[in-house]
Amino acid sequence: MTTRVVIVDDHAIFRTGLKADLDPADIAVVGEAGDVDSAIRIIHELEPEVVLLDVHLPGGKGGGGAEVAASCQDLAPEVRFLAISVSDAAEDVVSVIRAGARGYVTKTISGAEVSAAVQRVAGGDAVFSPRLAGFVLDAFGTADVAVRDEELDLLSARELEVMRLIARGYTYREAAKDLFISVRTIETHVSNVLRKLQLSNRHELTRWAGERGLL
Amino acid sequence: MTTVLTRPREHRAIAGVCAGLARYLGLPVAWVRFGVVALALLSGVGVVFYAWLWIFVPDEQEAVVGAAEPVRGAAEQTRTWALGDRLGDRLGSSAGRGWQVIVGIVLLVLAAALGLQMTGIRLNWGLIGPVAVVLLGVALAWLQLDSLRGDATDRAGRTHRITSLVLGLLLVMAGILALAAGLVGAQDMWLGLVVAIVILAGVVLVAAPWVIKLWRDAAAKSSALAVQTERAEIAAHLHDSVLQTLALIQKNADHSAMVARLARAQERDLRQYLYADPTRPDGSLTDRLQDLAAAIEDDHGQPIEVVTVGVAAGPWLDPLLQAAREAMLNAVRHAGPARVYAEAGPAAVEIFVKDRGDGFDLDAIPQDRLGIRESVIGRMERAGGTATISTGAGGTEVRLHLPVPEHAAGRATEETTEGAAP
Repeated sequence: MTTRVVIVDDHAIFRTGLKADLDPADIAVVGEAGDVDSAIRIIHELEPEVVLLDVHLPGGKGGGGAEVAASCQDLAPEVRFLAISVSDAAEDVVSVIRAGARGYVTKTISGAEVSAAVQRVAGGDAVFSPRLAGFVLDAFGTADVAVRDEELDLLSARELEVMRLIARGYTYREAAKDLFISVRTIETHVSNVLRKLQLSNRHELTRWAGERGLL
Repeated sequence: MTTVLTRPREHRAIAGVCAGLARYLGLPVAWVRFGVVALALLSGVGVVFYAWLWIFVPDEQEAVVGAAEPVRGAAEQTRTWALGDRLGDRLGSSAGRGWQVIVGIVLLVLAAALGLQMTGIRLNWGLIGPVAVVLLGVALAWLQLDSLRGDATDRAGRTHRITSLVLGLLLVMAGILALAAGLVGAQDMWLGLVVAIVILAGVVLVAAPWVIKLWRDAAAKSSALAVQTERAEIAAHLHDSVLQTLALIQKNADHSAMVARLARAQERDLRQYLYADPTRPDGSLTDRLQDLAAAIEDDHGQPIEVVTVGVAAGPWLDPLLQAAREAMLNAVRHAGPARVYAEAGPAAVEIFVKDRGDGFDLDAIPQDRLGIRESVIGRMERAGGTATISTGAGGTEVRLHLPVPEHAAGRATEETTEGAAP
C-alpha cells in the first residue's frame, strides 16, 4: 500500500528533486505547495497521510512550517508532519516539532532514508535525525535523571541512552541491538521523547518556541 | 594624529576631552592635561574650555555614525566598539574612573581653599560653595550622558545612570538656589522660584513636540542606517563566498568530485555564518571539532557530520581532539562519510566517530601501522582516557573517553564566561 504524501517547500527545484528521490512503490506524492496559505488549503483538501514540511516558508503570518503544522492540528492524528530542512538552528527545529511535527530530517539525506522516514511517520512513530537528538540532549541535559522519571521536563535514563545512540548515528535497529531491546521499544522511547519535547516547559524549549511566536 | 577631533572611548579620565585633543594635536596626553589644569587654575578658564569641548566634540562612536562612513567600514567599526565596550567593562567602566577623578578634584579644590584660608586670605564661602556644588552636579550629569549612549539594555547600569543624573540635577538646583538666596531675600526667592517654574513649564510646553520629533527622526535615521549596514555586510559576505564558489563550480562543471567538494565547503561556511552561536566562547570543543572536520572534508572530499552537546574548553582537550582527528581521517580514507558525536559532561568528554564502511579486522593491522594503535589508543591512554573500537559489517565506531581533569572541573563555568572576551 502506498503512502499519500504532500510536499510543502518554497523551492520548486527541491520539490521536484525530492519527488524523484522518493520510492514510487511505497510513496505517492498527491500534492505540492510553496507557501503557508496554499499548504494549509491543500492539506485540508487532500488529507494526505504524511506532509513533508519545510521549516522556512513564505506567506501566512510569517510562522513558516510551524504555522502550517499548528494550523492543521484539527486533522491530527490522520495527517502527520515530517519536517525537512537545511536549517541547523535549534529554534527552527524545536519550533516545528512543538507545533506538532512527528520528526525532523535534514535535506541532505538520501531518497531511501526519506522514504523510510515517511513510512515511519505514517506508522505513527517519531523520526529523529542525529542533530535533533543532539538538540534534545542539549535542552534536557545529559545527566542521569532516572529517579525523577515521571516528570515531563526530564528524560529517563533509557531515553537518554536512546537519544545518545541516535545522535551517534545509529539506526533504530542498531540502537535496539546495542541496548538488547526490540526496535518496537526504541520506537516507544523516541515517541515519548517527542511528546516531552512537545509538552515540556523547560525554559530552553519555551524560549526557542517563544521566539517564533508559538506560545 | 587623526583628522577628526573626537573623544576616544578608552583611556579617558573624565570625558576623554584631553585624550582626544592630544590625539588630534599629536601631543602627549600628559601635556594636554597639565595645560588644561593650569588654565583651570587661571580663574577657571580651563574648566570652561573643558566643558565647551565636552559638549561640542562628539564621542568617537557618534562621530562615525554621524559621518555615515562607507557602510561596510561602519559595520566593522561597530564590532570594534562592541569589543571596546566589553574591554571597558572588564577594566572597570570609564564612568567609574570618572567618579574617582571627580572625587579627587573635589578634594584637591577643598584642600587648596582651606590652605588659602590658613594663609590668611579671606574666601567668600557663600559664593565658592554653591558654584562648586553646581559644577559638581553638572559634571555628574554630563558624565552620565556619555555612558547613556552606549548600551541601554543593561538594567542595573541604567538605574545607576538615572540616579546619578537626578543627583546631579538636584545638586545643580541646590547650588543655584543657594547662590540666589545670597543675592535676594527669602520672600523674593519663593516668588522667583514660582515664576521660574511657570516659565520652565511654558518652555517645555512649546519645545516638547519639537524635541520629540527630533528624537524620533534621529532614531529612525539610525535604525535605517543599521539596516543598511547589515544588508551591505550580508551582500559583501555572499559576494565573497557564495558567488565566488558558484563561479568556481561552473568552471569545474564536468569534475563532479570537485563540484561536490566546493559545494560542501560553501555549505559549511554559510552555515557557520548563519547559525553560529555568538555567545559560545572561542576555542570550545564544538568549534575545534568542527574546524578539524572541515579541514578533513576539504582534503578528502567526504562529508563529516558533527553533532555536539554541552560545552568544554581548555588545553586538556588537545589529546582527545588529536585522537578524534586521527579517527576521522581513518574513516574518510577507508570507509567514506563519517559522523561525529561529542558530548561534554561534568565528569568526562566523549567523542564518537562512526562510519558506514565495511569494517576491518583490528588484529590484522600490521604492527608497523601506527595510525590506530598509536595515535588513537596510545594517545588516549597517555592522556588518562580510553579509546575503544568496534568494527563490523555495519561500519566502524571509535569511542574516545577523557575524564575532565580536576583542575579544569572547578573552572569549567568560569571558563565559559571568561572565554567570551578575547
